[in-house]
Amino acid sequence: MGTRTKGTAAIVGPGNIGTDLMFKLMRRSDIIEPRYMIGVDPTSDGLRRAASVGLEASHEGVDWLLRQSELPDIVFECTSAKAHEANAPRYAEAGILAVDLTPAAVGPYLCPAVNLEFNLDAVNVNMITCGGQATIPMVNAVAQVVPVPYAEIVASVSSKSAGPGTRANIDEFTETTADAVVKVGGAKTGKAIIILNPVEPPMLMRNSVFCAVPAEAGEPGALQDRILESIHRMVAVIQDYVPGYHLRAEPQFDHAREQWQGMARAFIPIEVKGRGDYLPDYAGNLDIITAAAARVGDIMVAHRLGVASSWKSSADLGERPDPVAADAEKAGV
Amino acid sequence: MGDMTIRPEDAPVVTTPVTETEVLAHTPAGGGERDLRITDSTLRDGSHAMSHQYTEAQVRGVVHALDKAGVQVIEVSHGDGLGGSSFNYGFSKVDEFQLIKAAVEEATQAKIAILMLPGLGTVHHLHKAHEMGASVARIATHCTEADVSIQHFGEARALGMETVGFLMLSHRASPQMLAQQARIMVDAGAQCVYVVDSAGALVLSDAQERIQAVLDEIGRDGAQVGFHGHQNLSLGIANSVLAYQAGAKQIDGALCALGAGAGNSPTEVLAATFERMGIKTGVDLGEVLSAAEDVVRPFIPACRGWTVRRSPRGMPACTPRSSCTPSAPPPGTTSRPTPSSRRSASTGTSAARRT
Repeated sequence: MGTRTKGTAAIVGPGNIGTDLMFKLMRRSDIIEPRYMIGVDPTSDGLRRAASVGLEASHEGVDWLLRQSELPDIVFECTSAKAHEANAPRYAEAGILAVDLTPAAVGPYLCPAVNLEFNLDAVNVNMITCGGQATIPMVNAVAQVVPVPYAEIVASVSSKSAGPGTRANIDEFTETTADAVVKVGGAKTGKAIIILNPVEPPMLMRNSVFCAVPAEAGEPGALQDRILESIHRMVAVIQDYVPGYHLRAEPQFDHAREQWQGMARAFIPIEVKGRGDYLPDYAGNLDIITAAAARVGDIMVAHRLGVASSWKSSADLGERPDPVAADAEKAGV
Repeated sequence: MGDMTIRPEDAPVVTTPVTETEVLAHTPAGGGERDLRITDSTLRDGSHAMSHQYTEAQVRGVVHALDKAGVQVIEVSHGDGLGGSSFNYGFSKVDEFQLIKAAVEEATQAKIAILMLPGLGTVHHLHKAHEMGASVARIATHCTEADVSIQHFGEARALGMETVGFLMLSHRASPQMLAQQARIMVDAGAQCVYVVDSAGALVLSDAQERIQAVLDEIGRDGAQVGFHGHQNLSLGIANSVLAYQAGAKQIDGALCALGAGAGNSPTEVLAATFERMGIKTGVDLGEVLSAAEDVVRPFIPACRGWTVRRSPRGMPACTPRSSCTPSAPPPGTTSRPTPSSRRSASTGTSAARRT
């Protein structure tokens, strides 16, 4: 160690997420060098792309990766929950850090906008889900101001952006996301819903966040204003790594209702436009988790090498964030 | 093993093929005594029209009456399926598992079915419903997204439940596409696949062609085909008859046409029509008419049924939301900046979800 200034990375799973992540790492981090792309299907488009930009691409799986004389410092798991459960102990045994982009939840949940100060000695961290990365910061923004006894998130993604891993793990998606709504978001209880929408042309990733809030917060006033300010601050933090993240409209508040046990409701509509690194810009669900994973990976590798983080924010890259709240009328709805 | 990418063999596919005998054992409809089997969804699809406010007494009353009338399958769940109780879809007044348990207790011959939509409900909901005594698992996906249901069919079959696949908004897919999607469900363990006309948008031959295509694909495995109609164009009954003539063996209805939007094919009219045609459903017409008029009619909201507002929506790709249910913008909403924006903003999350 000591003299090295760069760490190597392997991406396991050359699907939509893995391929998008490769581009994110190349753009955003100077200290992570994507070295290997690992799959199991020789005809994979992701493997082809990786080889074309200089990575060593193999379709012989993790067995192949672990046979290499030069192991990577860090592996990004972009396969399925089941696969990561099997692979995690092998990475740990080989001394490879793991950033898990499946909902396996082997390691602690991380969401850069909320809990970036994590235990840097962790060898395995979990990026929750794309829906979780897009919505949990909003739950947290509300929970910083008022108690949130129940939060519910609805993630709608275009069918085309949901690969076979996402589809096979749909239960794990809802359960891991709901769990992280509580553990990271700060709600007392949580629920998550995912919808794959096949509409053509494909829709941008769209999320609804609902938080049960005290009755007072349902009425216009100082408390409600503080919640709104907290939400806007949080959007700006996320835009630092996903410039296409924005409110689809201003948050809205419903008065307290009996059927909500006397609670009022905050509703926060979110849209995520991707950079189009791999799939077109509708697939913001890729960007929200790959950018988060790249951010976390950069910190972990910096810690391991004893060098400063090399992370490049949207501002550093000259990427202009979308307006915090899109004009709903202009959005053509 | 250090294997990674999801492959078809990773899914819990049921390897034993469905035999015709097995299907017949599950569905007396094919057994000669009956020509088809009616599944009543008053307590599931009808839950939309009730804003999910069913009480246990109402559920017991409906199950008792349907069971007495000889209806063989009664579906009980939140309108959007297990786990549907939410801000987004409306909270249930009574926990659905309590309602399922009550229904199971009340039924003497009818099986209690549940609906679940992957992405909203999970296998944990399925297990709980099974514990409460539900014996038919109906797994629903948008008509082009059948592959999200694979793990749920495997789990339902492992629990020993009868399985039904539900291809929602079937008007959005061609007959060939529907057949391919039905194939995915049958390979995963579905014993019947429904063509679900969620928006009531199929016009006569549209329904029949889809039933035919699905049957051609899955019939050779001994799997059945079903039809779930809606009344947006008042064709629920006619489409059901055409579906039966094309080979469908399971047909859905709801008493008094209670259901999302313009409502479902009315169960009592299905029974009457099939009886008139000499097609045996095993349902006692007098009893089912009484179930509709004496049990359900008294508690349903006054403004249910076909209206001009609900009809033309059957043509574009959406099921309407009734003006008399609170799923329209809630009266207490303080919208910033425009009153219409809440609706606009949430459109994307509800569009692909109608059952």
